[in-house]
Amino acid sequence: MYASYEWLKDYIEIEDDPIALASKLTMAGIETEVISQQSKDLETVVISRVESVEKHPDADKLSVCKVSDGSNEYDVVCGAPNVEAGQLVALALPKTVLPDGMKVKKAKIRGVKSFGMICSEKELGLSDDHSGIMVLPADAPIGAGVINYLSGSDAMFEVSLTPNRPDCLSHIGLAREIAAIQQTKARLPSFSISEAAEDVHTMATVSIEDKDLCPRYSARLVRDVEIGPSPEWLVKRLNAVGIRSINNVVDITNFVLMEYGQPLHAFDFSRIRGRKIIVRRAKENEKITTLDGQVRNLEKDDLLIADEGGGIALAGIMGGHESEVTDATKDILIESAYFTPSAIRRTSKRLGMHTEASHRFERGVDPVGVIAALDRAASMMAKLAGGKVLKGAIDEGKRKWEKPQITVRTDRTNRLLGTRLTKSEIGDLLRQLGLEIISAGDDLVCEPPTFRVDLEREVDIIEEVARIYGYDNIEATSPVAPIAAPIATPEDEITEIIRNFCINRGYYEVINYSFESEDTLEKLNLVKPGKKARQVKLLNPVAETAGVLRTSLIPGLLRTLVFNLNRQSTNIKLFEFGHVFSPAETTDLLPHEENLFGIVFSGRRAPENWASGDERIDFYDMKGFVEDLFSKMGINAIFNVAEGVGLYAEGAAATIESGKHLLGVIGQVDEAIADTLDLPQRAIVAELRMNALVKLYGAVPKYTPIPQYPRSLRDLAFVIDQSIQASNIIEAIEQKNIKYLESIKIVDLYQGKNIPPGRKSLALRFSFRSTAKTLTDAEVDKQTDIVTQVMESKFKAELRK
Amino acid sequence: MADLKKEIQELQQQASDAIKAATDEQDLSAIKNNYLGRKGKVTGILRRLPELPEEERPEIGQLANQVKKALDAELADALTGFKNAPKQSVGLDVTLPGRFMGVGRRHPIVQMEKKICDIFSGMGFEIARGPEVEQEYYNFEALNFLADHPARDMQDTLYVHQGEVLMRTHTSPMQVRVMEGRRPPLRVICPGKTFRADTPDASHSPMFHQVEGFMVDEHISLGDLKGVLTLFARQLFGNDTPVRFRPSFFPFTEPSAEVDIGCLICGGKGCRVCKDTGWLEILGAGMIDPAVFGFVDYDPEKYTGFAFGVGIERVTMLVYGIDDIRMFFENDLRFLSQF
Repeated sequence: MYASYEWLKDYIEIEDDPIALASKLTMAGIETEVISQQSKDLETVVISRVESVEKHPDADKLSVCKVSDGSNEYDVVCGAPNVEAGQLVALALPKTVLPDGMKVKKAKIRGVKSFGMICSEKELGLSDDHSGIMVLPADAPIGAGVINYLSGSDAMFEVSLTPNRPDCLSHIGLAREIAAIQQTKARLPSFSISEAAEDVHTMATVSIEDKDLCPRYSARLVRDVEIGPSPEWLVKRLNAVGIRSINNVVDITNFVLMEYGQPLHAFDFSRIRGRKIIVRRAKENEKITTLDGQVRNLEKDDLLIADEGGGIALAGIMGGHESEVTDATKDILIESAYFTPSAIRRTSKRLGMHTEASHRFERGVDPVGVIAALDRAASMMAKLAGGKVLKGAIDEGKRKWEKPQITVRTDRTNRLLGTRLTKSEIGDLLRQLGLEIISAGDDLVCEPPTFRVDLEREVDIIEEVARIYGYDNIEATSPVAPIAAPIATPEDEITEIIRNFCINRGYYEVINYSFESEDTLEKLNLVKPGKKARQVKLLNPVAETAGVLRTSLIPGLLRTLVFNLNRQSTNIKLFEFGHVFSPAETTDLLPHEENLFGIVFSGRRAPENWASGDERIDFYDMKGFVEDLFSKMGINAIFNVAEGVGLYAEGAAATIESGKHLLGVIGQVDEAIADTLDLPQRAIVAELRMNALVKLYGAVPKYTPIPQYPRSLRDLAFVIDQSIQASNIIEAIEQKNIKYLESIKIVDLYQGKNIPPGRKSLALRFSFRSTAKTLTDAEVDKQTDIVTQVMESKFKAELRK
Repeated sequence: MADLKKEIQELQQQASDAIKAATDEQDLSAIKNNYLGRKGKVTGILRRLPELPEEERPEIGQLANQVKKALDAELADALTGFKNAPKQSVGLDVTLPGRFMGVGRRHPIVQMEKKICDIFSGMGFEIARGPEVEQEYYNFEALNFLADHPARDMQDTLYVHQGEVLMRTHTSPMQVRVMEGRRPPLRVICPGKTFRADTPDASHSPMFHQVEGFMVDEHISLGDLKGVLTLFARQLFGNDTPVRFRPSFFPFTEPSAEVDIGCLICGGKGCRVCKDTGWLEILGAGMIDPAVFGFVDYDPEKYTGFAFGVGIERVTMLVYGIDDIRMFFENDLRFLSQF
């Protein structure tokens, strides 16, 4: 909400300047910002006279002006098309900082010195007009500050109110708050109404059919008004809070809204059929055309202001088109009502109509304050629109409003706040806020004013005590708590291990959105054709490309890869931790979430450097990375050929398994899929399941004694069929439980010259060791013979000599 | 005997010439070996002494020993000469860059999350994580957000099932989830992703990160909240950072507070970032509302506690001077490599 400093002064003597006031309100929980006090910021923008205008010698569109502020004459270069000699203009002198942050400096523009700048309205933050420089009236005082001349010393505040404080959505409300802070008193406007003899009850009636949704409805009738422009003071008040003047009657309802915080509605009384207001629920599918010309389709929970012929206003939200006040309107029925907050909110939310009225009603207006606002508006209509106020006010639902009586315990207050306040100090603070202390026995019992709809419980009152006492005055203390040494959860611990492992190898961590476009899975071939993707859909996504929750980290990683390739990165290694989602199992309410670790490699193996070759990353870089990681984590895993995972190139994907656990997948992205992603080069991805890693993580290693005797190495190269996989060979040899065999390494893979087509040469390095003695050559040779036999018999291998 | 003498002198001459001709230490050690070693030529003469007539032995022996000494000295000199001689360059250009592999980075959000968690871990807070898709009950109802109340507008929600399952709008549901299963005393922080139905722009993102934290025990006060969060702010932003608490409103805390620090950009003088206030808001906090305790069956007369929530993106943007929240999720390596 916008508020005006000058306007506030109608209701309270303010001790502070606007900036200090805003700060005090902020520190009392009413977040207030001075949004324009340009008279101060723009003191060095002065009204000046353009004495002469000449063309810039070196630029067609620029002029060189001589400008005088009454005491000095300056040369100023100006680019505006409308500059003319004799104009009074706004001259920003050097060192002025304009609202958009631009600093005006002495400058040379195309060789001509310019001492300052002639401003447009936009440059001064006054409007969006940037068509030319602002030209001031001929009688403006030369040498004076432009802003001060235009708007006086007023300051405009932007007040960001939390939803619990609707009482501050008005100048009187803010004045009350300022009074509590200053420990002074606010004064309400004083006015009188001279009523005509004719009684309103003889002319109009109001009937509330649904008292739950509308507990109170009051109205007055003002006859023979003359619709016309508002007086200047009223226009200025409204402008100061960002409201445009329409006509005297509409302006009065807006003025009272901003003064009391009570939304009013003015009906053209002649349009109310049957002279009767009926407050009722809408019928299913009932329609009303609101002031903005839109036809609104209603439901039976919507509250409607109707007459005998149908709806004339959407209660608490917006008036109806048919009963709108026009230039021809003579008689005005003013509505001032209290509607049930949740009812207004339901309707305004469903219809997407957020208005000044609904904003206040759904937070709660003062049910007792409706009459004061109604009278204020009637009195102003008599005064400013020549209207005749009929005698009396209709007041349906009038009654004594129950105020809650709230007990506030001194010790509870002090315990919660960490203060040492006495009962009487607490009482004083509450009285400052307009609460009535109705009993000060052992505990205080207080009654909040009706406009404080947020005060219902003891803790609400304690908060008020803290607020007015001042959070600054509450001593910061250190809580007493047992010593604790929290340890990370296994998942957090492993995440950190992996993260550090990646960073130390030069990889970058990324965070992608948890959303995906619905067709991503199909595009990436992650679902089989014809099968429905198992995805969690959002009902109200922010964009169509973010309609479902991700089921894999890979799409995001690949997108990020492409993004960076397009920005000339050549060596990309990215990783991410994040949740993926799949639809809930039948009995669960929430979708299934799983934490994954994803990684993508593409481009050079090493950063571009004179000493590193131009080798490109391939499948084995990723596999080696995973193997190293597992070795660090004490995890034994095997890689099995993965088939039919469409994302990956045929024959370039593996599942990673350990016992019954599927740890993840690794593979090279299929070329056709890379094309759909505009990915121009080979990319290798891997995705690992964190919960499986947690289960397998060997946190505490077991010690094995270091061998005492030397090992013997034997290199054997075999020529075998192309199709035989390394793991088949190792498995077959290991199955033989060959004595002394400690490890097998694959040290060379060769195809080509000297090897028959369809065959390959695989060189294996065998390490033999005994825990009891140094092995002799003969002992080792005996074992390698077994290896050769296995190779020959099982794989038709040929030992290369 | 004269022959032998001559032979010795010739040997000396030979050895001496060889020493002079030597080009490195290895040569010297070969020469030493050749003449003075166990099987060396000079040594050989000394060995042959017993074969000589007794009267010749002293003279020849003396001569041989003199030669040996003289050669030793020459060798030593030559060795010193080599040791002091300027060394031959290996010829590397040591200014060429090394065979580097590059240094990776944690994502700046993860760095900040860790920093925040580490500070609270140091104060004895444990870490709990929870689901990102949440029940309406935990996200709103049990946090005292009433249905049909404007407080719900404070957080535009992404829904999975209308009014039942949603993307958590804050990490606060973890307060309820943790309290529900345990009894005080509790000190817990809950970092994680959060979501809002906001279209991305420079200051909004449909996904962002928060660290929620809370402490519940029998005597926790607003003063304690100030103490703990002041300590936190100073650990994060520096010991001299001004910190202020001002009243605010959250449905699940009362009294509620917003916590500001002195502007990091202008030092409190007022600038565009702090909108001329000299202060930057860094977190929301408050005393846990008795209504929340009601939902988890804690006696609000017995237990009190505070809760707080830090927006990680906001704090990270302030610390590094980042002006567009979308940078975090674009993952441009030129951005990520700066942190």
